[in-house]
Amino acid sequence: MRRVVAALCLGLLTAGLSVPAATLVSAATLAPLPPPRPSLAGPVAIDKPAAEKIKHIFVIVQEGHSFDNYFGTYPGVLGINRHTAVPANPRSVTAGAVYPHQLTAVRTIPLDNSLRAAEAALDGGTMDGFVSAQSAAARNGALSLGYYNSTTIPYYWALARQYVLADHFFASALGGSTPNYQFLVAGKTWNATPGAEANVPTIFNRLDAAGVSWGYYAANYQSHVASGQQLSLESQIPLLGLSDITGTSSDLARIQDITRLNRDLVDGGLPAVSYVVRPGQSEHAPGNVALGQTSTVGLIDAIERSRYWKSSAIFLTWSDWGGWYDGVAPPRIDSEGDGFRVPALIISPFARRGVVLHQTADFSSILQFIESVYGLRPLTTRDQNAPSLAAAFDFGQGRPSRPVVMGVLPAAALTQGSVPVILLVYGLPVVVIVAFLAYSALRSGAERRRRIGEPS
Amino acid sequence: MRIMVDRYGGRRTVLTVLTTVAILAGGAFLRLHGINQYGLNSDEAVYAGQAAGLAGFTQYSRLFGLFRAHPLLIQLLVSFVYRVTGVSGLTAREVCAGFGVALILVIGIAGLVLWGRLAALIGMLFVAVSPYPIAVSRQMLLDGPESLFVAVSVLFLCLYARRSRRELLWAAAFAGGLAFLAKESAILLVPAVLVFLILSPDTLPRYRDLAIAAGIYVLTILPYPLAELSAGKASTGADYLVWQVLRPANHPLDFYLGVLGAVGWAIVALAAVGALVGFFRRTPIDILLLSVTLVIFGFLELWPTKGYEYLLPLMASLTLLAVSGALQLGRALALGFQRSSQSRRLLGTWASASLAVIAVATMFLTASPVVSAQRGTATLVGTDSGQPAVARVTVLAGSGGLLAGRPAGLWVKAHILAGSVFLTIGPSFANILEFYSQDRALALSVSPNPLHRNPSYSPVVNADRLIRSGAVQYLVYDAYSAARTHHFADRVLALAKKFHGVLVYQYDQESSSGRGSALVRIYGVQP
Repeated sequence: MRRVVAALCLGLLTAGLSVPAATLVSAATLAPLPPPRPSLAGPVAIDKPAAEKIKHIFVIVQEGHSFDNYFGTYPGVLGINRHTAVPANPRSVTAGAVYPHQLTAVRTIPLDNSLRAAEAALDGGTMDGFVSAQSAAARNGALSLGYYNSTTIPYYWALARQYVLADHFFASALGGSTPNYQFLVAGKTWNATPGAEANVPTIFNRLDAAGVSWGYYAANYQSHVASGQQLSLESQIPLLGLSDITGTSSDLARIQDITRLNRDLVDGGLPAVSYVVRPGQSEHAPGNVALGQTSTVGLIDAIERSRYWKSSAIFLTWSDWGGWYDGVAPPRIDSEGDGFRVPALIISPFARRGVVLHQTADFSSILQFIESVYGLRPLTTRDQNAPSLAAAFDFGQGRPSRPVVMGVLPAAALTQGSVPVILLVYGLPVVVIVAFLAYSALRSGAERRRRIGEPS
Repeated sequence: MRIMVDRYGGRRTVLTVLTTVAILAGGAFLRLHGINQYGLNSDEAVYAGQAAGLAGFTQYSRLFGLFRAHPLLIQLLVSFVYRVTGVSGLTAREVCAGFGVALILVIGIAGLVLWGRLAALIGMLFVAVSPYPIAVSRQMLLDGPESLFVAVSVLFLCLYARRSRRELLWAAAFAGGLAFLAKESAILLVPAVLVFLILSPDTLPRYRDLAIAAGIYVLTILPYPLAELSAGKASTGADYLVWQVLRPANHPLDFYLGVLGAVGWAIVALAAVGALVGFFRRTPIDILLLSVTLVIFGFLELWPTKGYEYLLPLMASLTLLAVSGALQLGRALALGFQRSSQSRRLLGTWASASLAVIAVATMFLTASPVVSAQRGTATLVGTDSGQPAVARVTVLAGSGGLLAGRPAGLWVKAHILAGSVFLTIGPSFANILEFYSQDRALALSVSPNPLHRNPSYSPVVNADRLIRSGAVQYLVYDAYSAARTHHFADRVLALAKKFHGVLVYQYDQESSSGRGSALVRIYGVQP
């Protein structure tokens, strides 16, 4: 009896102590972190092999898909598996769980990808709030566990098989696309108030200072419309909210519609660094995933076909998670992120072939790559300390590898046959007949000779 | 005296052999000289592509289906060469030129066994220098080999008509079957032979021998349907037959008159004399030659689809009739001048030889424009915003290679990424582009209606969508196709304009003024 009482007391004591302990640990884990600070470091040391081989860098950004949503079932990645499940309500064990399911429709209803939804999905790092976060926003929570595979996005998967797929690549900011587009150019976010212009140094200022040409391309960008009136593109083109870009006509002129890029690829005049946002159709739900894929792959095909391929590095990534599930908790670097994992493909004649890169990285690693090729000063502490993507490349290989065009046309419906069968079918009768004719001729000749020899 | 005869006989033999060698060498020279000046035309590209696929070059087999309109015997033979030499248009043409030279020899043998050395030499000379067999034999077409096998069959039939030995009939059936395996239009030999047997009852074989001959013929041509069956496409032959029967006529009724002109009017005139003499003489040989010539020509004249090279299988019977005509005319001329039979024979020989030489001389006067028919025939006139609007091009189907096809295809192979997809005006240029670039090319003019298109081609139902979806990256305008269909030429240009096509390649025709007109333009388009 005394033992039972002692055990109960010990249990109560343990339970009583564990609650405040957990709270303390949690508080320590989620303690506010400082935002990215401007970097005071000098120019990044030039990555000589990269600088020698890479003369053109493309940063192509699609929208609205997490890594697990696009590549969660890709072989060899840290993705979803048969044990993956997310509680419908993490606060209720009776609410059941939602399991990953394949999406076949190329369009879905949109999910909530806001910062609030992201924080709810993150749920303190447990990653079990994806369903409830959407349900709370009056969206279809179960949909967030949907995933695509090679049947829906075959060309992206084919690119992954040919080049480098990064499975630990995170969006830089927790939340939607707007802060992440900002991160992609500046290594930090800023408050983009409509109509108000900020003054934030970007990678393009660094490139200007180094005398390196650059361009920023977006589908449906109308250069004749005032920067404040580009209604649908202000998120994708954060430069339109920066005074030192909009105030400099030469810099503003570098923002172009994507048709210009297509022309530059053929005619020449391509800048050294090209940012391409939303190349054609957006894949952000309810956008059509298949059409978005086609336009993006079409652009990559065009680059591969161009004279610039041999000196190019293409970073294809997605701006944000789009409300879709991802199973890997993002590292907490500062107050802004990282965000959830997003797909990232590194495509280059010098990219390693068919490799899954497990190196942890985010958008600032792309900035770091650009800085290391041109010897630029880092923008913030983010890109200053960003992990390098050098492992995705093999600059030591003798010559650039051949590009692989995806070819979005079904194979020709040709009537083919087995060559050995055709050879047999054509050859056998000929041999038989020739043998027969030869035999007949010999027999007939012998008969004639016999007749001639016979006495009349 | 006997020694002298032998000596003269020996000299004649040497002279005959030397003349034969000279004619063969001349025929070979005319067939091979500058044979690679222009690239393959559409049909050649298809056959060469099929041969490459049969030789195991998969980049071709994915572009050129093995089972199209015709059997595969020649493609198989070329594929054996390709396995050694690799794929090239030149090699394929050289193989076909070899068949052309062999045709000269077979006509010579036929002339020899029918009427002697002079006939052999005249026959060989006619085939060796006639522009028509030269023009066709210089191309990778099936008609050259088909004609050779038809000639061999006619040779065996002539021998059979002379000697009535069943083995000769069987050999003729076998050669006729091979001609079918070269090109199925050689089936016309069957009704021609049946007409011959009916009109020449003395030569009618025993039914058993006839049945064996029929069996040999059927067994020889059996690979054609069997190979299709093995590929699970038994309906392919029927599809093509339906297409051939229902397709609109591609040439007027007098089309073959022009082709006969390419044979050489002198030869045709001598053949007419030979036919006239044969009609009245009606020996088995005459009936045979008339049957083959008239049945095949009559059918081809009535058949809606006409082609420049289709008459080539007639070359054997037509030439032998011409030889017969020359001999008869020579004898008739000699008859008027000499009374001594030996002198008459000698004069007849000289008269026949002279007639042949005169006939050949007249052919040389007309040969040049036919052999070089491709030079300077394509021009573009008129421009609209810098783009060609109307093309004036006259290129006869099957009459030679295309001036700009090969350079365009090779440029694409060298400069445009493998795997790119092209959209051309019509399938002819698409075939050429596919052979030289090994990239896929679709054709805008291919009808979505299966009754109105060649079964080999896939229709482009929505070109706009193909470009928007990134399935097509380049548009190709060529003056040859534009001349045949202004509508689809305009469509290609409109698409280029709509999708901000960027001109990436242009092939200009050389002109004396220095500024040529564009024969081929390739536009890069993006969705």
